[in-house]
Amino acid sequence: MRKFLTVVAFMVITVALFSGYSNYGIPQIEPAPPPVEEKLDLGSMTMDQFVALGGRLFEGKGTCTLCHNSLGRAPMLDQIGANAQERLDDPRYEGAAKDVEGYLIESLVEPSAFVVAGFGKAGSNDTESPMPSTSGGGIALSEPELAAVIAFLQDNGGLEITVEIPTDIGSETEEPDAAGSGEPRPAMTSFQELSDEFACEACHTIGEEAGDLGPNLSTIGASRDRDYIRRALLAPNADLAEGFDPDMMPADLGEQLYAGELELMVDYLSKLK
Amino acid sequence: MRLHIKLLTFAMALAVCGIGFLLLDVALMNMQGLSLIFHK
Amino acid sequence: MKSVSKFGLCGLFAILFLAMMLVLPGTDQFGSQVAAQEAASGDVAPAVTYEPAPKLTADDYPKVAGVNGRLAVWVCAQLHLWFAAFVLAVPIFVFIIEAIGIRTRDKRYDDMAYEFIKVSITAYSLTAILGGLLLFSLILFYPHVFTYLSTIFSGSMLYYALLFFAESAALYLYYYGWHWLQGGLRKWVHLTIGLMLNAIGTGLMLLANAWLTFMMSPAGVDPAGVFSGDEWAAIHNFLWNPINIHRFVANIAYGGSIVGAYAAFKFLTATSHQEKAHYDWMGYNANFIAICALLPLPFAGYYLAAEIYAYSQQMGITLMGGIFAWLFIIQAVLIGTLFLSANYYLWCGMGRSTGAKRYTGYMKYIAIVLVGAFLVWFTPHTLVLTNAELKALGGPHHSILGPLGIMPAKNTAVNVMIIFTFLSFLFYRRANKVATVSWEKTGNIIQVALFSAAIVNILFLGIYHGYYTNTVYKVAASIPQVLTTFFVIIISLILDSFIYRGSREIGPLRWGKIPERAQYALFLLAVSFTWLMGLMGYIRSGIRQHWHVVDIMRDASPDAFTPTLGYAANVVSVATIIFFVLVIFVFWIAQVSSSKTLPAGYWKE
Repeated sequence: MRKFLTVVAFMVITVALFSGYSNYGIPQIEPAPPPVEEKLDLGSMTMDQFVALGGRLFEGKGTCTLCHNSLGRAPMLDQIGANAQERLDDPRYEGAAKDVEGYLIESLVEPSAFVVAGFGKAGSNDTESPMPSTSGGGIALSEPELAAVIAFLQDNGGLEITVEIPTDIGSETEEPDAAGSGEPRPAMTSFQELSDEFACEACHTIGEEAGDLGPNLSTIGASRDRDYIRRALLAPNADLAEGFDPDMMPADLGEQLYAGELELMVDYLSKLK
Repeated sequence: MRLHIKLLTFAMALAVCGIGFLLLDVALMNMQGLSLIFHK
Repeated sequence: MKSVSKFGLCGLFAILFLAMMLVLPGTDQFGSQVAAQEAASGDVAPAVTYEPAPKLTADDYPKVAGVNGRLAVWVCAQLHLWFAAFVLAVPIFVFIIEAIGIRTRDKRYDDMAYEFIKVSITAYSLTAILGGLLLFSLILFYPHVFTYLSTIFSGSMLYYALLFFAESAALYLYYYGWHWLQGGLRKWVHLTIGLMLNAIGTGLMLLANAWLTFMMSPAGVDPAGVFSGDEWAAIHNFLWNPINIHRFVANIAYGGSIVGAYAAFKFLTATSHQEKAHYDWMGYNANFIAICALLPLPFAGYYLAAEIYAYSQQMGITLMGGIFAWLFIIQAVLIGTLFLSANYYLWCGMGRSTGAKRYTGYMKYIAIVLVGAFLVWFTPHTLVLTNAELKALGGPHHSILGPLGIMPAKNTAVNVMIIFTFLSFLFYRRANKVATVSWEKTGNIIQVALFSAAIVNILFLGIYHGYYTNTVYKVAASIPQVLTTFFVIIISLILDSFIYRGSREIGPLRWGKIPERAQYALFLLAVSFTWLMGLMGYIRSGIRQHWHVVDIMRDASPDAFTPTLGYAANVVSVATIIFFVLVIFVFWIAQVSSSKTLPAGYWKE
């Protein structure tokens, strides 16, 4: 019995030592509480306050400084004013943005649209960014919050602030989009939805729907690869199918679609065999 | 065994092992041995 | 021969482990691609429509009699996991020991295997009870989480239940049929049942792992949490295989350490010399199992962490550089304790042999190296916490300790630690033998050269690539480091077996002749393992932060915040103590079942 008690005491002391070390041997850091939706009073905000809000989001809820810091995990953003234009002019750039603001929004919402050389996921040859989309998922910046971050980045990078303080306070969407100018709309998640919205089947035959102004796409995946399909969606006049006229298909799908939606369409079409 | 034979054996074995390990290093570092395992 | 086959198994295990590391990630990536495509196509014409993940509010979490729901689920899950790990691990090495027994025809192995499984049988029912308690508390405190998960995993939950019955059947057959299925063909039937038991047990673990890794790296659902209908995609999510490997290896180490504690306790309370010898031998084998599985464990852990980074850089930084970074300092203390106590046990065990005197002088140097490596590992990591803390520290690195805090230094340290632990073991093996081959001295010199070259290589890789090349190479260098360690172990074992071929034993090993304090090293091993597992389990779960299912289902309960480390450590400590109370009960029951009381004059004659 004495041995049993010795063993028990030994074990309890061991556990107590571990516990004691964890409590007193290392600094006790009170982790930040989960992020809460900041009540935005945009109506009465000056641009300076809006930029300051962007700065808070940059360091806080946006978690940007986890990587965009001097450790070199991600590009520094203080030179963004000079860099953004350079990146738009980069021959590797294939995104949809036309100006610096558009580029910044695209980089926030669809980080893989353009990856700065050397910062891609290992092995992806700089085609895939390790950065998550800041509009969805874990970070979930709202539309006005994204605008505030852009304002902060522009201000911080020595640029003229081109974003406007959103006035539409009431309609904060859960999944904000903002892939450029135009009315914000929630991202679509199925091909059918997209096809309905952009009226693909008015001209094309896809499965059961029959249109004959454009090529039949029911088995497009068998003869064309993903790159071809993507190009055909973004620049319809680039390769014309035999017997069809140019300029029939809208050429601005690249501006209207979100990158995710574009890929969804490419995925779907390339699997039609 | 005399000391110098000992030392000679040691040096030779060390050289062989060292070259072996060096080859292993070079092979793995250059053939992107990493991306085999950590694919991302 | 006995030891050769044991080492054969150990080597095989190491090779299998490496092969798994090489093969699995590829399939993983393929799986996630399939999942993405399935998700896309699934949306077109879904056979069943699934709801998106619910957006919860604080009112969705029932308050029951003032019980803290998170704490209840946490403790239940942890206790269940400890027992499950033990119960899954024991049959793995019981199977191996039984096979060794069949091969060597040494009945001691068979008896020991039986004694191991006997210990686990009571633990088995406790595992089930605790699993039920976990399920109950999850439904009670987190009904929406459970509902959401069960819509996705309805199929696998059914299979889990079925497998559980099969597991029970196999386990009872294996245990109760032990003495019945002896000899010749019957023994093979028994061994086959053992194999099935292990297959089913591993299957159970894989399913449970799928559920929890889904919560960390969801797959088969769209960003709103709408399930695509493809359960396999959800099971085969990004972190599934990394966790599977890590848990499989860790379970074996853990099971070994708990059985070691059992043997240690029996040794301390043994009355006869024979009993002492038996439990000494059993403790030695349990420790051997624990250490064999402990050696690859840092690499499995490293692989898991790398995969977490690959899945989500944000999660990776939260894990290694953010609020959880200090936990790895605690982990370092624990792992240092594990290595030191395992080595200490080996050193004490050398007293069993008279020939050990030749090696005792080296022990203090091994101890010095181990402590040194431990201190490097212990040096804090890059601590990126909040911007305020960053400013206070004047940068992410401590100016002097910074260089020791980065990963290459730690990789180097852990490899050195493993090599020296192996050296301890090598000395232990040699302690009772005298080589008779003519080239013994040359062989020894080659061994020394091999170790020297390996250590130089590990240091070179760590220092050169860790400090003078770019980040990609820093990480990449850990691979040749690991392989160097494995090569040393394997080549050295092969060389050693040739040098000691036909060797002369100095005397019979005096089992039981080991100081009592060595047994406390076994207790320390078991307690440290348990506590460490609890801590790492907390980290694994905690890096989800305020999410039930990362980025898909938010935790809106008042307990969604991440607690301080001290608090987490206290919860783990209390759970550890509860666990050991239950374990002591299990051991006691195992003892009671074999003791008989003959009350005189009680029964009618």
